[in-house]
Amino acid sequence: MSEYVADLTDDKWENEVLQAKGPVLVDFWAAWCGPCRNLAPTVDSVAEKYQGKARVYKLNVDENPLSPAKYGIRGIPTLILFKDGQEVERQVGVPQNPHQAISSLIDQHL
Amino acid sequence: MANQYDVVIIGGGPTGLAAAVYTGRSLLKTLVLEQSMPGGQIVLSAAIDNYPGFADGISGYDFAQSFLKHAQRFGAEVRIGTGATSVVRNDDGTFTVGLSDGGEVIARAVILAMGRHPRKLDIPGYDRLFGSGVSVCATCDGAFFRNVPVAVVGGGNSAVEEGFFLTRYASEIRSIHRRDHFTAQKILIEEYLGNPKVQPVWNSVVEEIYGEKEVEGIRVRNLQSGESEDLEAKAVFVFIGWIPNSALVKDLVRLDDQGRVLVNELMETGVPGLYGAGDLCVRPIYQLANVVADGVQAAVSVEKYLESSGQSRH
Repeated sequence: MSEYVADLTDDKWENEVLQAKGPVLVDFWAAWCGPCRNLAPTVDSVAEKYQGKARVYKLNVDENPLSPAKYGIRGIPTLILFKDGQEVERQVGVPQNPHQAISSLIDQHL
Repeated sequence: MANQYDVVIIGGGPTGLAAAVYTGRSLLKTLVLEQSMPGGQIVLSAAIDNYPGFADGISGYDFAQSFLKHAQRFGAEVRIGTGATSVVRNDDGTFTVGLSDGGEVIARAVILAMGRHPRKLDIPGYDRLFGSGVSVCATCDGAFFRNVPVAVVGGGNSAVEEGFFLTRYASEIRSIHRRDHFTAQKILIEEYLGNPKVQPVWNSVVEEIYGEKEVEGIRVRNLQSGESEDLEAKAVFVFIGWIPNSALVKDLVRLDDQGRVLVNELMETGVPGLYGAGDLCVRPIYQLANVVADGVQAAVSVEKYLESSGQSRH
């Protein structure tokens, strides 16, 4: 379990994402997705870096089918950055230099 | 010196990590640069069933993680998320490798193991709908397409293997190939075509992927009749070959007409101290076991080179 990245569920989506103020990053993943598992430690370190500035969640798409369907997730890993409940950035797949790429998504919306 | 290494290995896939196991065990100060995922393309594989010794198969992710640990166990430093931006041969025979984080390192020898990336379809809709139904990874994305028709493009091992994986989820698979037969391994083809969900569409190419926000279908042209037809598909999985990641060294080493690095049986590029290995290079076959062997050969060649050149170790 990650120290800085909380598990998100469909039930909590409304409160934790849509009603939240400021930037919220959601990492859509599944256990069978190798690249997702590869990306997880990077998402964790990004979450640590932005502690107090941005909240970071991961959402298991197998256990929580509603939110991925609503946002048209058709491939994972997908990261979506929300600000004040609105989607502002989306990253599909594992980018080059993932730590920097994810950080720069957040930096634009702090 | 902190930024000086006996060997810098560019690429942390199976080839680069195999090389690192060997250079580490030879007590060479080793740096592996991996710009994205340790394991590289193999991480996308749901199950590796043809790597000798793994009788029950192993997932690409687990394989890559174990490989990474193995390299680290013998002392290799692996920088994940840092790629190489330049390789320059210095007058004293060493190499300066520029890093994506703005730094640079000096290496007595360099092993190029950057691998290759999937070729894109250069047609309308591909880029626009990538991640919204267009995919190059059945393992990652297949489960989003349960009980709907999908298309697979290509006819080699990747297309047939990944297509077979998709039979778990999709209602039907239109398998589009420009020839009239697949070129994959026979056991894979039998398994694939034996599945009732799979419908091959021979002698055909995809002209367009359409859909507003998500893939809704494709337009396919038969190369013999010249006629086009629309097929319903909620996803298009594309496996039409590879492009070597050789841009970094195109002015430093010899490439073939496909951009692959030319090496001899010792993995030498012709530039003293500079070696190429694995998917990046011209190889007789592109299988996990032989690109791993390439890494081992490159490592042993580096060790001999450093001994014979009499350069002191770091």
